[in-house]
Amino acid sequence: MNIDGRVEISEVQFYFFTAGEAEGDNLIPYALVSLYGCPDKDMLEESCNTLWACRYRGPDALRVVSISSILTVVSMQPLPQLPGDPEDLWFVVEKSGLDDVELTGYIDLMEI
Amino acid sequence: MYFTQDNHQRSENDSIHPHDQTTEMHRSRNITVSLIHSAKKTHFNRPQPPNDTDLEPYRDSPDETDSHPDDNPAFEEEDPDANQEQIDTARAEELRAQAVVLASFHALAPEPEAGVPANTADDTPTTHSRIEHVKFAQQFIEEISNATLDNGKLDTDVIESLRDPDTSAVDLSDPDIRLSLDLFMACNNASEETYKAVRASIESRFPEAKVLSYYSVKKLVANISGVVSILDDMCIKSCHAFTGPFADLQSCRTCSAPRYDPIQIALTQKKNPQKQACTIPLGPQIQALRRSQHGASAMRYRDKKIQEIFDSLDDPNAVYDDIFCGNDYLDLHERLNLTSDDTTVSFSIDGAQLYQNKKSDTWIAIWIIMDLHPNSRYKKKHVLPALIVPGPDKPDNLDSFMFRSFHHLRALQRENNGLGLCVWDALKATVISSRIIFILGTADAVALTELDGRVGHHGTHGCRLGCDMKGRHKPGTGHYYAVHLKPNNYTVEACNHPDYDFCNPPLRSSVENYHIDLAKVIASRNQAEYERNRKLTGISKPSILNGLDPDFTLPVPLCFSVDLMHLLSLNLGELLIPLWRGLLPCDSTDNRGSWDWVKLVDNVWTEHGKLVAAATQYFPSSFHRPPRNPAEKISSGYKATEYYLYLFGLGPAYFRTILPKKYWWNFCKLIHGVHILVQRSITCQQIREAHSYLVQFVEEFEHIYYQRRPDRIHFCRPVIHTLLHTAPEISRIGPGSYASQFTMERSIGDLGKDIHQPSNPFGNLCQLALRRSQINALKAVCPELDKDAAPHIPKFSHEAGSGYIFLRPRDRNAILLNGPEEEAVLLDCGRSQVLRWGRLRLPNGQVARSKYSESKRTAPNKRISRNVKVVMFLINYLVSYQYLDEYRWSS
Repeated sequence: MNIDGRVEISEVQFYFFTAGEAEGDNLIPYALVSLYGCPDKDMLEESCNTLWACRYRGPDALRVVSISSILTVVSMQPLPQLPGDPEDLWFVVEKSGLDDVELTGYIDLMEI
Repeated sequence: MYFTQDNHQRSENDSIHPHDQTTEMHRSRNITVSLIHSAKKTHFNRPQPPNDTDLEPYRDSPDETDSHPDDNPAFEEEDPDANQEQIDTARAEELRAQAVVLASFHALAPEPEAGVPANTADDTPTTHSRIEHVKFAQQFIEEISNATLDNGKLDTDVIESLRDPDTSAVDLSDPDIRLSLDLFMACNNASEETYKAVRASIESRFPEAKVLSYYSVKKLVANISGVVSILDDMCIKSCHAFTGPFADLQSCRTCSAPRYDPIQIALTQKKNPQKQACTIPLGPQIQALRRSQHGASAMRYRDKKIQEIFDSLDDPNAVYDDIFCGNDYLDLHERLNLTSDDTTVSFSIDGAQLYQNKKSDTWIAIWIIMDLHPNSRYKKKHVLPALIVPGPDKPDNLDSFMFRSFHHLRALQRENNGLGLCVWDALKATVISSRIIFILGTADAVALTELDGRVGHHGTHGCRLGCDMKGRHKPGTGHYYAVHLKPNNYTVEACNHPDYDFCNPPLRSSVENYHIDLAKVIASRNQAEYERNRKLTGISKPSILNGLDPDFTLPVPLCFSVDLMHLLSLNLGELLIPLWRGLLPCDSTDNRGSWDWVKLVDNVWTEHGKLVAAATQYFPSSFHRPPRNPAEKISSGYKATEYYLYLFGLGPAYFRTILPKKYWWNFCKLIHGVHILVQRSITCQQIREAHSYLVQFVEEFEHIYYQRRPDRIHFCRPVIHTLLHTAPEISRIGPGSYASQFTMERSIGDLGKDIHQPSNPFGNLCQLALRRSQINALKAVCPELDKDAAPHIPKFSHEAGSGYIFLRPRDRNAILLNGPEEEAVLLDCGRSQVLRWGRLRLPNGQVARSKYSESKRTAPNKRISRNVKVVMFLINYLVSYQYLDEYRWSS
């Protein structure tokens, strides 16, 4: 992770290239993403930084990011609520490095 | 010789032992150095070896005598109320144990003249155990220590090419030969008939083409690759192979089944083995790896990595991202002065399920070539088959099957007076000597006890890593648990020791302590004594790996580690969930009603189960198997990945609404530690952090659940203790994902699938495995024949650079955006018309979809895969959260 960077969770809307006018110009790949809100601070602290729960903001937080800033695919799950919790939070689940795709060579056949 | 702990009596005159200097060098990246080097606690002052005639035969290595360590914690275990006679017996036992220790040290000593078998069996009257299976293990080890290429059942021409490797380039210029080879490889997964049919079609259309016959092309492939197999007869019921001490038997010593087909013998006098196991020796496979420039260059990863590591020794941000970052490898590296010529291997054995309805029906062992980049190391193309034991029965004596593989490895280690195996290195264009270094041995839970020779964890020193943590048992039972805190109102003798000191990270067993313990087990005079010693030491027999050249091996027990997948997913899952469901046994003096952590019951459990099942749709497909409904399926083969995603993925959020706060907080500490442990790249700082969280979890776990109650001792399962070892293990052998059985199992599973053909019963597996190894070796020798060498680029995709690939669906024509989408794109790219793509393949192999592509999918089981972690740069992004800086994502 780049030291200057901060990590965000986002939902990809679509991917696209921008090209110069002329044929043969380098295509620059981008993604239009919707950034999830910042994580609920209390939950994050209480859970020893294991529960990152945030709000889905849809069209209100669209950004263009360069493709190379995309690190991994994560799972966003609806958060079971306790009384007094904010509504509609989603929490992040990451894949373990133990069954890392790069190591095992597993590629989902559906995705090829 | 190689010890983790300083032996003070030895270190002065031991100039070849570089541990001290080495560790000095690694200090900056090492968090456990101080632990490893902390002085050992002397529990029992053992008498010096007396001038007893019993010891005479071992006297020829005086410095070994000196090296005899002074302490043995296990001796504390001696019955306290022993009378004089028992003390005498104990003393006599001890002396015998010492004698055996010396013998085993003697066996470990570097041989003066390599190339000539040391014949320890003849020269040194090694004490064989009176316990039969221990004796057999010793015999296998002895035979392995005496291995040469000449006594390893190899054909003379194979030995010749191992000693004098082919140095000429493989000539593929003949188009007919090239066509035949291509065709043969294309038909790898098809039948011989397919090859023949294609050959006939080609020849009828192009009569001038001379495609080789199936027989000839097979032979050619075998020749070019040089890979052969060794078949060993085995019991038809898989009890053992007829190797080592069983080599001359005519029938199985366990079940008496005849070795040869009795009908054949009756009819024709011919000895037809009923069943055979297949070993594919490592030597030729290693030679193939460097025969092409491409292959030789790939084999240089380790050396480059080591340079990188040495360059970053003083860098506080240095990461552990491979096995070679671990101190045990670095020590080995410096001790042997390893170069890019040497080859490092690991061994893994596992049961593979090739047929439905059988748990494990074929046992497959593989060699992993550690010199390759991790991203190719574990893939099936680079994994070398070592051993196939056809099923369907589970092998009983696994040593007898693994024997052949290790025998051959030891022979390779002995080649050229220990300089190594002759290998043609295409990059250097010369014959190099490659020492074959053994690093790690891994196995699934069942086979591991066979490989490492340890028993279950019910003994006094039940720790799998052999640390000196002493267990405790309930009054009246002999079943020890890993209880760190001393129970209240507890008077069980020998278990009365004070609380475990959590401040000192646990020390794993050193090589010397292992051998002392082992000697004690070997010296047992009868079954009862053996069982007592086994319980005391946790060792049931010597590991077969003791037969390898100790100079070229990460020695037993250091070559074994913790299998994170098993530990974190299965062991923890099978403790925590039953705990919270209230299913753990409740002693008569305890009261289930006081278990205020039992919340997963009745409706809560059912609803919780449904919620877990409903989470599936939110798991991207690259997350493999999402957890099934635990309320229904937890006892029907819940898989390790299921447990992982359930406990460590969904857990923090799902149990938050169920468990009382203090139990949830405790659980979160575990999660925090685990999330670090499973990363592929871990900093020193993170290792310390993980360790600190895990220690807190363990200590607190005992306080809040077991509460120092003797009747709750059974809550303290071994997994809780093992957690204390996981972080220190990273600094020893790198992150667990490089040694996890998960990785190995997948490799073995792939290999299994590959060599499995429904039409062929078990017998053919050997031939198929051999053909596969030959084809893999052929690809290594002639990379131009490897059709999948280039990464697979799907059709209609568009490369986006740096390993990213755009995948369809895609708009046919550029569309005009509107609303917030237009605003965002216009702002950053100055345009409002784009051609949208639906999916992106990341460099790590995952595929990220998008809202655009997922809105088009109509499949009922679609799993959302459009959420990604991105790294944003402050320059164009202004919102800042201070606490985020403290958050460390695993990237």
